Amino acid sequence: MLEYNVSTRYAVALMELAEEKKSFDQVSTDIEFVYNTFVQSKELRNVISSPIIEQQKKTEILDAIFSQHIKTDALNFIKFIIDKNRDDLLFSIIKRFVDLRDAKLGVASAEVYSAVDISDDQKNELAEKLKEFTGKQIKAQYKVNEDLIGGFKVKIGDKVFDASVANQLSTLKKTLLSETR
Amino acid sequence: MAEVRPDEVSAILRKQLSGFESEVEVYDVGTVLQVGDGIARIYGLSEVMASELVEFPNGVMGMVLNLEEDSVGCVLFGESTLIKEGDQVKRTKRVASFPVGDQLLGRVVDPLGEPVDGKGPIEFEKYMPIERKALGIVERQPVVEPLQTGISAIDAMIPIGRGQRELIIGDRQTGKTAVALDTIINQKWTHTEEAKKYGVNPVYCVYVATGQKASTIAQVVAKLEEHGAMEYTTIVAAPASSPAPLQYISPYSGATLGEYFRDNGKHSLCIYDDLSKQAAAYRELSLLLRRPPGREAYPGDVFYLHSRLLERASKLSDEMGGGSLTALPIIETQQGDVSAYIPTNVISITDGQIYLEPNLFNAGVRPAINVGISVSRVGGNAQIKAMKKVAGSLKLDLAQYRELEAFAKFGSDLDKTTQRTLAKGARLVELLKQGQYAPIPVEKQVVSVFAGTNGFLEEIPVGNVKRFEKELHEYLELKSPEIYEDIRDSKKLNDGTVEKLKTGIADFINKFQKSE
Repeated sequence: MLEYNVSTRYAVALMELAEEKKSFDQVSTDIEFVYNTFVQSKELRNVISSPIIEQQKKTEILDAIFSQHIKTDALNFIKFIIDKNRDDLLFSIIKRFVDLRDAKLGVASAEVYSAVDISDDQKNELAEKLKEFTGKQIKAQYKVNEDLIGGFKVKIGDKVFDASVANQLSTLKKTLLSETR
Repeated sequence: MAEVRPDEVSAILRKQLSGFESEVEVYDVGTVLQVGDGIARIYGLSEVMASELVEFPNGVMGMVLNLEEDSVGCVLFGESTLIKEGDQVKRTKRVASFPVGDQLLGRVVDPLGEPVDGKGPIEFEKYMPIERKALGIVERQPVVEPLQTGISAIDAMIPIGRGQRELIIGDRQTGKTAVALDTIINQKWTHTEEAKKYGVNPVYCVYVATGQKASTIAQVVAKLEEHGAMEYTTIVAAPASSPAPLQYISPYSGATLGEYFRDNGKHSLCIYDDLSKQAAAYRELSLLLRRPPGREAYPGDVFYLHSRLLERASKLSDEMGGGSLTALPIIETQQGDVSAYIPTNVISITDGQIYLEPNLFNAGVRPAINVGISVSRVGGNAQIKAMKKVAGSLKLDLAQYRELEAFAKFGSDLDKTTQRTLAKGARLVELLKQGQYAPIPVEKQVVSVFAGTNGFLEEIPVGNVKRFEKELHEYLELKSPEIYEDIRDSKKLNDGTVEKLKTGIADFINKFQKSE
């Protein structure tokens, strides 16, 4: 799809530029900061992708939010995207950049769902195990999902490690149904 | 349905629960981006295989058809209303496959192997992928054995061999399915002890109903059951109400079952009824998957759609067991237009075609086979010697008859030779008429054709020909059954038998009561 191709192109360009300028670390922290801000604020995402709001306005908004927190390289890149009329793709470009950077540095982001809150010790132990298993650094996000009943579920990319009670029960249900049919 | 005993349940529970602590299931998932019209676009599933089955919520299955840069195009085998955007899709790591085995005989199943005849579940031991590559050259051998359809016109002039692909083509309501069904019913004899004695191997049949009315399929099942033909037949049903993806895969499922018999050294016959509807189903889902449309809006690979299916028909070499898979695809034309896209494609793929004409059908010539443009490119080698000998001049006589048919209305103004050709032709046409569900064994066909081509019918009024044929068989069976026995056994027509036949028929003509 178009969106994917375009985002990749911009993200790769930024990456190469940052490497050339030897400011890769700085840029990537900055972009990650922007990414997190976008993830947390739905309003911001809506404003930026809205076609009604003028580009001038958008640039001003972004300036106001980020100029205190990030360096010029990253900020200029964001403005450049707005300037190029790709404002609707800004979020996906930034996301793509984060993904590509993670892939490059060998970091895998994991979503960990558990039925109850788990302690920091458990989190560390789990992260350690996952690191062993995937051979990558694990950047985990922890979420509580009571539907799991018990146990946990980890999602890394497209892979799911399911050790939840809910899954066991559904397997059990399937087995029992197929036996009786 | 077997009852579940309580101790059984607890055993299963124990088994399940014992692995409860340590069991971590690892699976791949994707997210539904878009769903509708029987198609889903999925994000993720990064390692999925082409034509792999994937599992949606609510037990809906899907098959992966498009692998794109950032999404996967998938067809649904169930209700698309049960699926919503954002749903999780699981990989099964299994490409679409069809169960095979003898236990499928006598059953009606859907293209995924689920029984739909209400006769209870089927226990399967083996699954085979529905898309299999056709065999290469080394594994094959030329078609050598006949596949008797029991229809005189076909067996005499357009013979079909085991491992051949013969297209049945014609407008709606011209008896295409009837030809196919008669062929299935005629295979009943091959399953008898008698056939074994004469060295004829049984033929297992698969009837694939694609896009047919469910009532028509029910009728087919009933007819086959009535004639005891279901015992060696499996029906793969994808009625018009089933989703397009199921209709699309149904012929491949049928071919997979046929291949199972073939690979076990047995003989099988697959009827695809009909491929024009399958092509339409494929067109539907191709357009929904946004593949570029071509001629008549069919996608570019519609030729490959049929060629890869029909290439699976084959006669195996003796080293491979000598089994065979005969394919009888059916194509429905619109207003006799054989030069439409799909008909020309399939005509070019198959080893010949049986062309059925509405004009003939309405004129009472049934089966309404137009022998002029029907051909069989390889079957002649597989015809039994006796039939080859007597049928040689049949096609010629009929061709001459058709050429002169236009003059028939001048009646007595014509010269003697023309009149004789016309009279003979009319009798031959009459002789080749045949009722539905009444297949004729090959030895009787030989005798009938012999009588027809050797001028024995000249004295018989056209209206009496069918009765004459019937009574002739009764007479010969009574007076000199060794004629039939000899043809069946030696598959040849030696001089002695010819003499006996000549005297036998001549004797009978004297006794025959003509009626006006």
